[in-house]
Amino acid sequence: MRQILLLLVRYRNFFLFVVLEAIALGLIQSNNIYHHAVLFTFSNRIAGYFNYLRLSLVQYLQLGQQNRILSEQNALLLQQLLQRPKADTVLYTSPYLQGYYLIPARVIHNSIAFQNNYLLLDKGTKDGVKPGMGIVTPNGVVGKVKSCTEHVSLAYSFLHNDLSVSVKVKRLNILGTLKWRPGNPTQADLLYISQHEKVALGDTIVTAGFNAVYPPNLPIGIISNIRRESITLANNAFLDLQVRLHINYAALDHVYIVGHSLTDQINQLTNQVSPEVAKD
Amino acid sequence: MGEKFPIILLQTIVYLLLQLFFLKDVALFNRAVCLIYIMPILLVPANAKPWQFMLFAFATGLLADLGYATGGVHTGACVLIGFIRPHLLGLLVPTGGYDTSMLSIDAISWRWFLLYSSIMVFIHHFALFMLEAFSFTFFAQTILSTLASSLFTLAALLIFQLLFYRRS
Repeated sequence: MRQILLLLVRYRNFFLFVVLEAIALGLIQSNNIYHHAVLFTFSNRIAGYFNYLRLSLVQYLQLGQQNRILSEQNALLLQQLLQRPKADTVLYTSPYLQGYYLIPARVIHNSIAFQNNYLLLDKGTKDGVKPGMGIVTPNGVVGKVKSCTEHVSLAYSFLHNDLSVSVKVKRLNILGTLKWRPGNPTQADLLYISQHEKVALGDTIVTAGFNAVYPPNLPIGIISNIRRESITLANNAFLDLQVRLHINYAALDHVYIVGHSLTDQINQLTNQVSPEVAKD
Repeated sequence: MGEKFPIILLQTIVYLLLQLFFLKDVALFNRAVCLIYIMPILLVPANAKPWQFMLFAFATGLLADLGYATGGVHTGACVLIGFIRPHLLGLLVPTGGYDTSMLSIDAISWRWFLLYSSIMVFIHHFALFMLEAFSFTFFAQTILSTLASSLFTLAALLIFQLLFYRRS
């Protein structure tokens, strides 16, 4: 304290000069609109710079929260997209077509190396997840929920021997079944397409949307290989088609669990026919 | 500065009145203005305490600003020369040193006074025009105004000195 006082006394003339000049500058800027504007712009620029610095720091610290908000927003937008009536069915709506809803989730465990792979998701029964629900990203099908606890769900990956998905060849609107072939996480087999169908390389495969597990018309992949002589199927009635999947299963993070408001009713009806058919 | 204070005060009032009533709207070639009101600041005895002198310069500038309605432009320039003058006097110290009398064209030598007042007037005018422009965009214009006005003020200052401050 004494040092500071000594410093003040020693340089008192300089400090007086600074104070008086500050007063003069204050007078200038308060009495002249032009000077006021110049000083205001200058101080604004400095304040803006510091605000920007602070914002970039705070933004970085809030990245996790921002990610969560964005994924929730994505879920909402995708849901609206799914519920939007298509141009050719604009006159036709039903509770079934508008019944899809999405629950955003993150993958907390994932494997691709085995013949039967599983996923762990960070949402459970408390968030409305039920066994049997489908899991998608905008790039395609991820899997299907197997069982849930309060906050975590275990799911079959699409890379699982027991899972198959009803799909359509978008251009021709013909139905088939997509099933993973163990060994390569980027390829799957498209089954039960008849020999006479004129499928071509590069045709897009979309979900069919049966049983309300996956939303319809979600692009999954493209046909990457066509063989007329089937090896895998004995009777040669079907084409041997390979599909390159859009999803990179090694890098799954944000996913959406698909629910449908009419699932119970659908299951009830299909169970009357045969309990086995309910599998999609 | 103490015993000379009344005469300094009187001079200040006279020069400020002169400035504000007769020289306020004078601008030679639409550029050069005459700011004779800084004369009393220049004439304060060399042994004046720096802080007293600075406050005096501040007050003078403030009064000029009130007359010109320019906010603190004159105040800023006057405080600057008030701060610089002790250092300048230290640089320009004559062989005999300073005494306690008022400075004038006869006090030391006319060469000394010319150098001293030129530097002071130039610094004051430069600070003034810079504060008024408040940017470096028209720096050439500012310098031109500074030089022209400095010459005008200096001429008026020397004429006043020769007319009213000669001892003989």
